[in-house]
Amino acid sequence: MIPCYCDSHAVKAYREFTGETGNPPDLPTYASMKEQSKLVEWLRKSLTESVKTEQNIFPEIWLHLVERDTKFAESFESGPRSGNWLMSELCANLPIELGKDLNVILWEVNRYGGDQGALENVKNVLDRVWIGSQFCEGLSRFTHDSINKGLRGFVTSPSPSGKLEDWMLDAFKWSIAEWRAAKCS
Amino acid sequence: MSFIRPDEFIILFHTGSLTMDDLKRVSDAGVKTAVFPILWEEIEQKSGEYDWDQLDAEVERLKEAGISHSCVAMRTRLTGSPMIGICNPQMARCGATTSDTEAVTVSPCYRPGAKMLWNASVLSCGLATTATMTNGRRCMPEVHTPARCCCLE
Repeated sequence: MIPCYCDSHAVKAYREFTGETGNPPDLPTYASMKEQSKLVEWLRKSLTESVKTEQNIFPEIWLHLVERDTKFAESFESGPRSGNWLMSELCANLPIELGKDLNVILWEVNRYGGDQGALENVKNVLDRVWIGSQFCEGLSRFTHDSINKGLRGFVTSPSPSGKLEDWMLDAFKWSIAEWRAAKCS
Repeated sequence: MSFIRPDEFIILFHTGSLTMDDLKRVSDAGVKTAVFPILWEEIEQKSGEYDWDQLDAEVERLKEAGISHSCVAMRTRLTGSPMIGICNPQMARCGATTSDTEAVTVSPCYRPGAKMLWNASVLSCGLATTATMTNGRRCMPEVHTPARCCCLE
């Protein structure tokens, strides 16, 4: 597997940063990060600078809606190549570094919202994480669990077919009421 | 800044599959925020030419249904799936090189009534973006002028 950070520009930047001549190595597992300290530092620097650059654009555009979505989705389960291990750090440090109020939103999309175990990378910023309930069944099954975990809300769609049924509307109403009761009281 | 709005606990996704009547029923149920994906290739079908009609129409449709906050998840065909965009070898085989990542990089833009969201592909491409910025062409969107991008270097 070729890491996603191996396009020609990234390779050049990696070589300049590390002084090495080869391509960036892969990061197949979290354990492998310990053996690739140079790569990890380059990724940390590159990702942080990238997010900062983008954030310096968005406040001008959105004015008071200074908020950015990273939508890692299934990348939570894809290992360290995606850089998701940096998210808690970014959420904690960027508002200080940029001197602006920021709220970085993360999504985790899992079918039915059922597998919420992969939240280790954002355990410090759970209140900024919308959990994905791909269809309305997930609202009924996992609203309370998500509230108890401290998550921010759900992203969902009615059904795979897009057909709206009455029970789905009931699920919307019920889940919204539960979130309101938990977060707005 | 705490930014938890009571009407943002549930966000509707894939709005395009719902009829106007259904959207109104969802809105009446309390869902006031929606996000819908759109392919960058459908906006920029020819290099440098931008067609916003599809995006604008969906934003207006949502507003008419009472869903006041709409967001756009900009994607590209190549990186439409986060799994493909981030770590699937398909991406490399498809040739996800600089031109592709720049296509995403320069795609963030502002449309009245819509809030642009960046999806996973942008983050994965962020590495290349930074490298691009580090190594020469620094492309950013010109604020409030979606159809143009400015090269800072």
